[in-house]
Order: sequence, then C-alpha cells, then structure tokens
Amino acid sequence: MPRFDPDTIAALAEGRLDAEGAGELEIAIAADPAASAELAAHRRALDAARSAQPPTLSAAERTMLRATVAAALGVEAAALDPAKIKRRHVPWAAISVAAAAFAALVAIAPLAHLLSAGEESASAPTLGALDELDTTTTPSLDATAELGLGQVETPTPAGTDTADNTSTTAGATATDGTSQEDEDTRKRLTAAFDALVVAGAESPTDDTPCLAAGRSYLGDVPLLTASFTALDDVTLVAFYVAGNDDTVIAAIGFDPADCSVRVTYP
Amino acid sequence: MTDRADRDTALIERYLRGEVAAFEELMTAHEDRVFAVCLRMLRDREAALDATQETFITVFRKVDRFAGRSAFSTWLYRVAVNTCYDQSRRTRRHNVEPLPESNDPPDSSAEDAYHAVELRPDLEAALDALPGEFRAAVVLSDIEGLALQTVAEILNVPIGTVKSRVFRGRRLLAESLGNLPGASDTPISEANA
Repeated sequence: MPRFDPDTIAALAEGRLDAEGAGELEIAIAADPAASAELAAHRRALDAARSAQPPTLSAAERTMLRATVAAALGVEAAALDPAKIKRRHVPWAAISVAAAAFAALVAIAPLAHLLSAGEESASAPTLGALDELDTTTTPSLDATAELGLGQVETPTPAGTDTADNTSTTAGATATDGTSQEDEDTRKRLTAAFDALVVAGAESPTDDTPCLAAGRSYLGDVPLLTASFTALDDVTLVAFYVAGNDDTVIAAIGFDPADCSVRVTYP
Repeated sequence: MTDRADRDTALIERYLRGEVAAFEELMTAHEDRVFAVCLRMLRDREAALDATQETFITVFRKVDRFAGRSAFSTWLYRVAVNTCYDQSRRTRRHNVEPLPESNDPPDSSAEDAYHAVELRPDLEAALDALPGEFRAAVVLSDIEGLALQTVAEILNVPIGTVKSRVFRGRRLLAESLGNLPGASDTPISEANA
C-alpha cells in the first residue's frame, strides 16, 4: 500500500503545493526510497515535457493550411467555384517521383516552347502559365490555383511600389497591387522555376547563398533553388517549394549581395 | 469564461455572420497549438499537417452547432485529438508489416522524423513508447500545459482518469528517459476515477 497519495506526489512535482507544505512533504518523502524515486521520475518527465520547444508552422505550411481550409469552406474563395473545390490531400512533401517523371517527359519538348510564359498548355501547366489561369473557369489540376493561393495575403516584397499598379496581366497577380516591374520580376522568378523543372530539380547546398534566409521564409521543408536575372541585371537566387504536380507552392528571390527579398510568390 | 474563450465566442458569431476576418483571426489564434498537439500525437509532420487541416475544416463546418458549454478551444482540441486517433488508426491499418529478419541499417526516415517533430530526440522516443491514451494525456497536460479539467473535457473522460493517465504516463516517460529502472505497481487505478 503506497504511503503517499499519488495526487500529492504529482502536485509536489508540478509545484502546486505551497512552500511550507512542499518542504515538509519533501522531507517525509526523502525517507521513503520508493516515494523518492517516484517523485524524481515525475520531475524528470515534467522537466523534459516542459523544456520541449513548441513546434510551429512554417510560412509556407501556414499559407497552405489556411488556403486549403478556406477553399474547403468556401471562405475568401469568391473567385473559385465551390462546386469545383474538393478537399484533397495536400502535397506537403515537396518533391515526388512524379516530378522526376514529369521532368523527363517535358525534357523532350522544345525548351523555348515551355519557357514562353502564358502559352496555352493543355496537359502540362508549368509555372509560366500560372498567371494566365482563370480560376473561375478552368477545371485546374494545379495545386496553387485549386487552393486559391492567389487570394491569400502574403508578405509584400521589399521595395514594392504598390501605388504603381499598371499591370495588365490577367489572373491573380494583376489584382494584388504590385507594380509592372515587380510583375516582370515575378514572371522571371516563375520562369526560372519552369526551367528548373525542365533541367532537373536542383537542391540547395550549404554553399548556396541566402539559404538560411530562404528557409526562414519558406520553412524547413525540401527546397529547390535556381538563379535568374532581374530587370536591373542583378542575378537573384531563388528558392522554391514545389508541389507533386510540378507547380510551385511558394517561392522567394533574394539579392545575394545582402539577402534582401526582391520578389515572392504567390 | 476566459478572455480567450470570450474572444473566440465573439469571433464565431462574426464568422457565422460571414465576416472573413473572423475566420482569419480564429485560425491565427489556434493553428499553431492545434498543429503542435497533432505533431506530438502523430510524430510525423506531414500527418500532423493533414490532421490540422482536417480538424479546422470539421470545426468550421460544425461551428454553427457549437453550443458553447465549454470553451471553443476545448472543443477544437477534442476534434483534433479524435482526428489524430482516427488518422493513427488508419495509418496502422495500412502499415501492418512483418518485423525485419535481418539487421538492416536504420531507416533514415525515422531519423528525419526526430528533426521534424522538433522535440528532444530522447523525449520524442519516450513519447513514442507511450500508449496512445497516456500520450494524449501527457501531451495535453504536461507539454501543452492545459488544466486537468480541460484535458478531461477534451478526452471526454473523468478527471480521475486523466490524473491516472498523466501519472502513469510520466512514470513510463521517466523510465524511457532512463530515470526509473522499471515500473512497479500502478499507483492509481483508472477504476478509482
């Protein structure tokens, strides 16, 4: 028969007893090896549990989660036809065997054709074509469009001039208040992703500039990387989170000189 | 009701009136914690993300039926825990494989899981060894810091049962962490709950 009430031992371990009561109980328990071991076990387990760092969602995961839930509920998805939205298993794992198969398939097609943003492509919706997708009418298989990411508020790239909205590009990017220059940079960012898919996925290495900054924005998920030239002839380094169907879920481009953010997607 | 609970109640009313901002605020307030619970229950980041997604969709779809007898967060975590149990059961059904007969090298994905869960590896391994009901009680009580009464409401069991599960869960955790050489008798029976 245990001499000490387990609730009391638990309360002592949790620090729920007043100082005087705790002191007396501590002395009494010290004389009982079994109870001492029990108390020590509780304290060790509690210390371990309480010292655990709370896991958090990465920016990309958070964006994806909200967009998926919103799409499933028809919230903030006025541009999407609810009848066409079905909840699906989100391709959280960024790169799949399907991506490799797709890359091999498109490698035989003329590169120029695939890189021309906006060209219609019935069977292979590359990123360059994303801007042209009309989510209200296209029965899209594209994860980004299906999840309504265009409607999710995202960080504005550094230096964005939101007043200069002269873009005439169709689709979500034309309505988010970005300037023509930003729009062009974004197109280059996404075109670089298309080229990356065609050429074969390239993962960043420890030597890739701005990798830590990329991870801080996109989270600790598998990333792809590519370089592209912005309008001011600066070669930017970009990081991508890719979906299973060769679409980009999120991307960011940095100026490697100081790792400042130049462009984001979506 | 706490401030948080009052705010949640007000947000639910606004959401039901069609205010999109209320949806965003509810997500912001709870998504990290729901994800944390799911990650610690399931110990797999992708599975936890799926469970978190399913939890919020379920809750928002049924929120008009939320009676408000308990805090919204309590109800939310109850849905999350049940979703995790369901997902865990589904995973077990799909992953019934014989034990390897050879001394194969360790699966690198298991190592990745440690990093993904963001817990100390020893704690992760110890939690992994806990039976599901003990793990849920310890996660909610000791890691998430919820009151025992709240945990009881989430798990839909008497508070005595929660105490018992937390107590026994801690002993098993300590054993796994190397503090206790072996469990002796069970100090509290769930029959006492």
